[in-house]
Amino acid sequence: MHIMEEHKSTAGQGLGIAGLVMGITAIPMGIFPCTFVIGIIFGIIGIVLSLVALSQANRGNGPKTLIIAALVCSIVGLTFASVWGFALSRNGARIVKEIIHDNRNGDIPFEEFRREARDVLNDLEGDTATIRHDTTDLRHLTDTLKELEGEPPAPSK
Amino acid sequence: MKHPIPSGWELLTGESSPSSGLSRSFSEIVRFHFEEARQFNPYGIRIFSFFAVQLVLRLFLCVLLIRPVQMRWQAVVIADVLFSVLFFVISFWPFFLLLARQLGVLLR
Repeated sequence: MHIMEEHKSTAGQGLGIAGLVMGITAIPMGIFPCTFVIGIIFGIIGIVLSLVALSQANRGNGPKTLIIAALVCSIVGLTFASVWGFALSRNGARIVKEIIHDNRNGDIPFEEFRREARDVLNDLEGDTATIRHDTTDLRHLTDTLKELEGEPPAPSK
Repeated sequence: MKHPIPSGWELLTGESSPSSGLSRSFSEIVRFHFEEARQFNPYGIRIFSFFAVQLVLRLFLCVLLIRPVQMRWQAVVIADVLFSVLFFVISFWPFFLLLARQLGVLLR
């Protein structure tokens, strides 16, 4: 009786695992506004690694399930991060346009730029869902810090 | 001490973002200071719980792999994936809402 050995190809699996790690990391990085840049970078790297792994698997007849999962995760992470990138760049472009329109000399001190940027962002508050921390908790935290530094806390209103 | 990863949101807008304070919140959670953790970021506890449960799950699956246990691995993997995705969505739900609102603003 012939016992035929099956040669399982592992073509593309190494890069596929690397792509999967990048993709899984890109998802939480992309969903947090603070780290969306890292989400974009990891998402792009994950997609590139997955595509290279996919072509290797196609040529070497390797399994593709892991590689497709890596590609999906990377695309999802990149999508999340891109939404933040577009939202901020859209607001940023509007801020720059308004400031340039108001100041044709182009000589804007940095603090004035930040103040005007903050004003425009406050105007956009109705559209964006900025989550505010509880001001009572922040006041309590500030009072605690002042007590530790030996200063009297602010009088409560 | 400055955070090693600069916040893209803060660099671009000068304002603190909804995910600001998560690292400090996690730092307080591992010290069992849950009230302080909530003050640093109100979503710190639910997001930390996601990562903590995932760590426990991975360790459990590693133990199952090492020990010679007879089981249907395909069913285990599918259950793991489904549970992880569902738990991820529940833990990160406030940020999904925020993302959806931003998308709505962009598409308008």
